[in-house]
Amino acid sequence: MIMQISRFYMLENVRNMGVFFGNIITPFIFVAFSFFINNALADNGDVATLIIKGQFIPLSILLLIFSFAFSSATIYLADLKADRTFYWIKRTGITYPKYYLGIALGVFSMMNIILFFVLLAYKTIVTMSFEDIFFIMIISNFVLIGLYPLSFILAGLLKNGKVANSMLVPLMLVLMFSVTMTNLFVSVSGKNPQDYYLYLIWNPMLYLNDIIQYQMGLTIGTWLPQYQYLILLSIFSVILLLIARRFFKINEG
Amino acid sequence: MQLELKNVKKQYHGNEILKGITVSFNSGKCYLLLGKNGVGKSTLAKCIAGDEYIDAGEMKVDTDVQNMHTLVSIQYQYFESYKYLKIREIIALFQKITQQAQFSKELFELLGLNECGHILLKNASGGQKKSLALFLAVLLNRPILVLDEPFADLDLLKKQRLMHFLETYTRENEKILIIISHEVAEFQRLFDYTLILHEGKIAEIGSTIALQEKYNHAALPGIEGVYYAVTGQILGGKIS
Repeated sequence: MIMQISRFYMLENVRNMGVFFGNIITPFIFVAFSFFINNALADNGDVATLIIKGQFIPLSILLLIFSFAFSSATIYLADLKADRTFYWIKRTGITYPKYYLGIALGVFSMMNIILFFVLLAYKTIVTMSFEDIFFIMIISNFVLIGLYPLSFILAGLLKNGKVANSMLVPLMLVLMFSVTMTNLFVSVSGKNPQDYYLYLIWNPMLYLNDIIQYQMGLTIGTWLPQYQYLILLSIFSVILLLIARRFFKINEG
Repeated sequence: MQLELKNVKKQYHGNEILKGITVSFNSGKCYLLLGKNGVGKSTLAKCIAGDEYIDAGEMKVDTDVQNMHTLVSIQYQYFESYKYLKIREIIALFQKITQQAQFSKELFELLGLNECGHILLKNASGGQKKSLALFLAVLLNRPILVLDEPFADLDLLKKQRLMHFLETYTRENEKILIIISHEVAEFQRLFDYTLILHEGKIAEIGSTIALQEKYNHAALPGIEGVYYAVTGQILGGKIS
């Protein structure tokens, strides 16, 4: 039953070409730019590698997770609410947790498939082992687990998919650029970005970025041990899940 | 099974829509809920279905069930969910996730769903969406079935065939069928009982045959005549 819900979720998302391509196009644009820069700076390979590994790969993954954790899931859930789909679903006898699990399985499957291809594409441009790909995928999934319940909170607060879409842009900017810009400007000023990570501990994207930087060989270690990141992300997920239960309400009658 | 409503009240923003509805519904019977637009028919249906909370009164069934609303299946006027799924895929999804789903091949064919199964919901016409909503409501297989304007958007032949189906379905499956409809003239045979809602209250209730005998109107025969005699209005307007 959960597999069926997951299957139909993926089918619907793939058929919604505009949203689907909107979700996956940005990471692949970064891949294309990486390819271009790698060739253009062939004589200065270290700089190209640094730009690709330090900026383009983390940005691609952050955007991909953001697209699947928030954009598509939030818009989908907000539309299900607006279209009164849950009124139908509650009469089928399936429990809501089962239904949400089906959607989550669809979200995770799609994200992992696309992420694998994005990383595979980067592997053709810069040195990256399958072990690196594996670890990046593991942490990406944990970040997705940490952030996924947020889509229920947003869908509970926002009226429909269109409103959700417009509200997600500033949220994405805050979550992404608070990490990437801090890293960039602190590095440029000759300081260690990790000294400032304490101020960004609220942002799960930080953990992902830190681990990617480490896996790519740009830092000698992560700010916190990786297992602590995974624990923190699990705590994030549980807290957001509890909040989501309060905000994502469907009239039970 | 018997569904009983006692003094059910519902208001929106201080405006009292239902002012104390008391009525009983029995299985194997079809009930027509009649009234002008905005009188509270859909509100009453949503209260029965559990989509709206009631402010006062009581709703109960004579079976041992934790939440009586789980016994109700309602067909909303339109189905707008799963826009990027094909009609046959939506049906398949509901078949998979519904406990004891009842797939009626007869209804599937008479609504023409076999012909439009390949159409994405976002491209489906109003009639096709209505047909899907109707089919899913039956597929859910609940003891109480509430249909909101089931005949609207259907062509004449489908309307007639649907009436015959609902007549048999209700009796053979011992369902409580509650229909909200403004189209009554051709379907009087279907309705065992008629309830007329007027100004938030039940103005008249009784077996359709008995009401027609009680309010025999030469100019407006049948249920329309009953409605006129009770409310002073014709269905969909008012005689000045």
